[in-house]
Amino acid sequence: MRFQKLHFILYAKISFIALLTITSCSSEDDGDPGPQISIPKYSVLASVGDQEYLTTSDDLSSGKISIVGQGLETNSFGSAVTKDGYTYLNNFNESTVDQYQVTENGWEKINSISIAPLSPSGSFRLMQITGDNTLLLTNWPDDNGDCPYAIVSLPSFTVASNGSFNIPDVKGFDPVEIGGLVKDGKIYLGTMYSNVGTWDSFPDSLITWKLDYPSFTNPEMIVSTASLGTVAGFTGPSSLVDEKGDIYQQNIRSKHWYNMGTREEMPTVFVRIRDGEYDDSYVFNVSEKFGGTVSLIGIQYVGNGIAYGKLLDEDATNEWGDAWANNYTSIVKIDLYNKTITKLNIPQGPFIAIREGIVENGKLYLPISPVGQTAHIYEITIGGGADDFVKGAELDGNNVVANAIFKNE
Amino acid sequence: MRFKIVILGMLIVSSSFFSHAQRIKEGTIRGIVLDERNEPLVGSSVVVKGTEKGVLTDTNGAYSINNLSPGNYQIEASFIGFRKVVKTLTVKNGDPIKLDFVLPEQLSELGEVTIIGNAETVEIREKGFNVEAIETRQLKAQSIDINRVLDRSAGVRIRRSGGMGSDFIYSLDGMSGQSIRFFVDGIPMDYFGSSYSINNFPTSLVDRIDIYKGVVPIDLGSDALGGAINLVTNKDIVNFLEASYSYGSFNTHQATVQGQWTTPESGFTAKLSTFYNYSDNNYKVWGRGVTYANEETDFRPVTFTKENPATRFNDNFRTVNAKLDLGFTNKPWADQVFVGAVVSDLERGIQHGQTMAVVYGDVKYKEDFLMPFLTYRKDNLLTDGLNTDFFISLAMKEGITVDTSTFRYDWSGEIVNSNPNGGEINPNSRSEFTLEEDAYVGRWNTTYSLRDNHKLGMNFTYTNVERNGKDPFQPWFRIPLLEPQSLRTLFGGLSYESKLFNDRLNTSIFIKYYGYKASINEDVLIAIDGEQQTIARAIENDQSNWGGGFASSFKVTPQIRVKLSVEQATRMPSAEEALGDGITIQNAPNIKPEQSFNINAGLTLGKYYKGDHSFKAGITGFYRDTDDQLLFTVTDNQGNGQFQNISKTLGKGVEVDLKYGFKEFLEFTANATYLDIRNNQAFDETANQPNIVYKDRLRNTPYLMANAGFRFKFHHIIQKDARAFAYVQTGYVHEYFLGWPSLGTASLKNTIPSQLVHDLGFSYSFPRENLSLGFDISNITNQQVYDNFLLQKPGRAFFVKITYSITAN
Repeated sequence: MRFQKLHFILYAKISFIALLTITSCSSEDDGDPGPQISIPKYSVLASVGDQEYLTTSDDLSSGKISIVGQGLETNSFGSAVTKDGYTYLNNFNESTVDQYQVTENGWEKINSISIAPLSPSGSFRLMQITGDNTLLLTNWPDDNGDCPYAIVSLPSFTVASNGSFNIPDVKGFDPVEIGGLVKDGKIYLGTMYSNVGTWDSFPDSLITWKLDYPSFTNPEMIVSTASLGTVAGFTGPSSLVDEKGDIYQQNIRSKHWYNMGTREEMPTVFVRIRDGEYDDSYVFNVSEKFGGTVSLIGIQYVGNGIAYGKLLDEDATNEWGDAWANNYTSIVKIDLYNKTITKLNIPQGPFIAIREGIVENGKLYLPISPVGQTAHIYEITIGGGADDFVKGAELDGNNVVANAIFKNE
Repeated sequence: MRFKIVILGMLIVSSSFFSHAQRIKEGTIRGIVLDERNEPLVGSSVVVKGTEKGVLTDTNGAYSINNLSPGNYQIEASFIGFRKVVKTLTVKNGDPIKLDFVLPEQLSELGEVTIIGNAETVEIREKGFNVEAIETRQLKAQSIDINRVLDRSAGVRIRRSGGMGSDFIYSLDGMSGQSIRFFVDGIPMDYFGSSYSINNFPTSLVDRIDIYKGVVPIDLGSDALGGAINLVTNKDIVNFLEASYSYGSFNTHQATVQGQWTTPESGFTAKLSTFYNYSDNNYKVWGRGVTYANEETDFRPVTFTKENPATRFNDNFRTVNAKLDLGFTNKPWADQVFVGAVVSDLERGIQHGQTMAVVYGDVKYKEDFLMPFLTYRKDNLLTDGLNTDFFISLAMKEGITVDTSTFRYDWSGEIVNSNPNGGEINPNSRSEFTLEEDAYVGRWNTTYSLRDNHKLGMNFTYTNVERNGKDPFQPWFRIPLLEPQSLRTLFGGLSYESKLFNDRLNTSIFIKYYGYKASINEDVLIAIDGEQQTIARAIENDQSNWGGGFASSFKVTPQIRVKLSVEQATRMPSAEEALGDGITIQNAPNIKPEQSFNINAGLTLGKYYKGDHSFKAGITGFYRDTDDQLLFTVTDNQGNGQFQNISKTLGKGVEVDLKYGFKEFLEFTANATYLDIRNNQAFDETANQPNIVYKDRLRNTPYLMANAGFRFKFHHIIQKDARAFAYVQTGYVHEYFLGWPSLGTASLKNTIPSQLVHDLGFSYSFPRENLSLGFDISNITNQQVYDNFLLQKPGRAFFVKITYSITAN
């Protein structure tokens, strides 16, 4: 409802401006309602090689989406989110986070926040919407375990608070990466630990830190021994919260990551955090559903215990770069409650790069860009079987790939 | 000293002949040889045709020929780079006759000029090549760096990231980057260290700059696929000492001392050239990307403006460089043999990352360099017409990038944050990376003149580069180049040159061999004793190519010349491209050489004279079809990446060059270059897909540029025989896109804006010419100038320079 309300306000604003323009141009046109202004409903982040463009479309199900002669040049490396008609982009060219809006004139930069005074490294790796009106920017721990953060009020795009919080060492291991979600006044930060001096060892458990949010106080560590690896996420989140308030996490463990490959008996799993603690009664062993070695590289929750994820066939890869460059990843449907996982018969691709899809009207829209094939938006029927999808809008073809789509409302 | 002896000798001889002439009434001819700017041509040859009489002009360009019996004579004056002039006169009754010469320049027609000096006649280079020679003698009194001199030439574009000592990329007729090679007196500069680069080389040390566009003659011994720039230093075997000092804006100091001392009896010769450059580079910057932010600004970036600009604060540059040659000249067994060394020291601050938006306050780069060398040259070795020379060197370089600061800065120059990890370039971990490079370079050139008009040439150039790295702050497996990596290249060239039809048709045919062998380490993860471990595995990459082509020119009439050169060329990956730099460029084990098919066609008209006016015009068209182009590809959000063979390009272009002169007083030059370089990669091999930017104009590449300038010369200003020189120069580069032109909304695209920059300067040489003063203003209108995206170059700057020289013989 809120989306609709804001959209209405935005529409009204634009209409008002347009009306002013029209009336100021010619008083004789009174009574003419003027041209209908339409803001494209969706944004698509597409790229060619190392060049990235944010273009728009009204239709994800059919037709063409193009970056030829249209779209905003960006340098976000896929680090972007949308909220209430605004798009927030990491701008690595200028070391800022930028707020953009699609107007009748196309993309318009509304405001920027400078990163250097907020994050000593000059960047925030994580950008997420944590509430109705909040954008949370966080970074991975430094050598002291300190993680800079900024909480940004939306849509005013002003820094409400900033600082850093500490993630301590655990049994001699250093915190390396963090990422998670906010629920009921707590932030649950999944972690990856290793030994940053040598990068040759890691804990054989999953470690999450729970802190009060937004104060980032009262840190409490919770541990699951269901497997190992990172529960911090990677190109997308690896945690979700369902309608019942349970948090589900999946681990990423790749044989190409340090020495994780030497522990093949430690599987890819889903674990559950219930009432603030790991619920050891729930472990969903994903690995045992497949013959070879697999890794889940990120999930997107769509409701009712269903998530969609990106499953990497580790046996097909010779090095980590293969996962980015070749068609070794599948889209899978995960039923968390029934502990089932289904590979969709969508062509495989380098889907590690996919950042975000759109959930709308019982469908999940995902950008699918297999190497050697034309990229399309796929319309997946949520909860359906392996073949319950259709190929939707087509990108320009050739070497144009898309890895994120957003709503502009 | 030798000059004095010669002059003294000439005086004695002439006085003797004069007394003799009183008896038999023989005549004397005296005069001066000047260029079109009224500059004396020191050492030019004046001969009496049909006799053995001839002399060289002295330091004032003056000459005197005595002992001429009454009669009619043809007197010919000649000098390198100038057209011969022959005048006829009659000597009567022993009266002294004044006969001055003004030699027209012949800058782009070097091939038909001969040097007459030291009683030798030496043919200069191949002439069908698209070559332009820039005389820099006039500019020695000015504070103009070589980059700016070259930037004014047709088809040349130098893109600089900042002020003195900053990074730069050359582009010649659309080919750029490493496909352009630099030489000093024919020796490749690639391994001379950062200090001894064309960026820092003082104009004072250079006599002439030869620019080869596209096709390059084999005697430069290189895989210069896009062209070559050769700095020609003073090679006269005379005693001299020259010093210059320049001071200017941004606390910029440039000092040079060069000298030569030789003893005619023993032939022992010592040469020294040194320079010292320093600049704070604290010029003002403003606009997009130049911001500060803090709590008071609500963390909004506040952009510095032209009225309230920011000052660069970590961009200081200092280098000192010395080159010493000790050896012998004019010995029976060697015309020249020298052992010597180049030694240099360099330090610079690194102010920002890929754009000015990422500010560094403490990052430094330091480099020490030592290169001992041996060079030998002998003409007419064993038999007449067989000339040979060789050069061997070992270059040892140690470069340290110090990135250990825990502070973060913005453009206010203030510390805005602290980072316990340390490191500004790599904010995740402090680093003090040392790159050690040893490079062995050997070059051997031999030519043999079959008859007057036919010559064979041969060149071999071998390089072997080894790079190592170390870093006390990084775990071993994160240190680039921890294990030695090497790169060997071998170039071989054979050429045959001919001059036919009374020298009207000059042709050079050549074949070239390119050998490339690299041993580059790749990190691989393997199981050792049940544990996955990263090890460095050497990847051997061994490749060879053949190329060839021809260059020819035909003189249709004395004023009309057509030129054509064609080549299939190869460029081998450089050490930086193949081995990486250990900082932002990763190594590329499987990199391949770049290939290009080049055609150049040109037409030169002039010089035409009409009264006091002279005109000259030239037009050149070129074609470049390049495969496996090596491009730096960014692989992360910090701007790091590696070189990859990812592109085919097809380039066509045209450049027009005009010159007008009025008497000796004024010269106006103008040139314009248009490039149409397109992506010619129909299929994107990385994505295994057709390429959407196929046929798109090349991104981030200037394509329309023009230059124009006036030069003025005055004589007898303030004092008799004093000379003054002034210039006004304007350069224009049209706006171009950072990204692919066809993609994205044009009005929202990142651009490198058009620039229109004006420079001016003047100099004054005192009558004895030992002392000159120069004054220069660059970027007079204080324009905000960019060659690269969000990298602003210096604004208006003032420089003064004093040059003092002592020449003796």
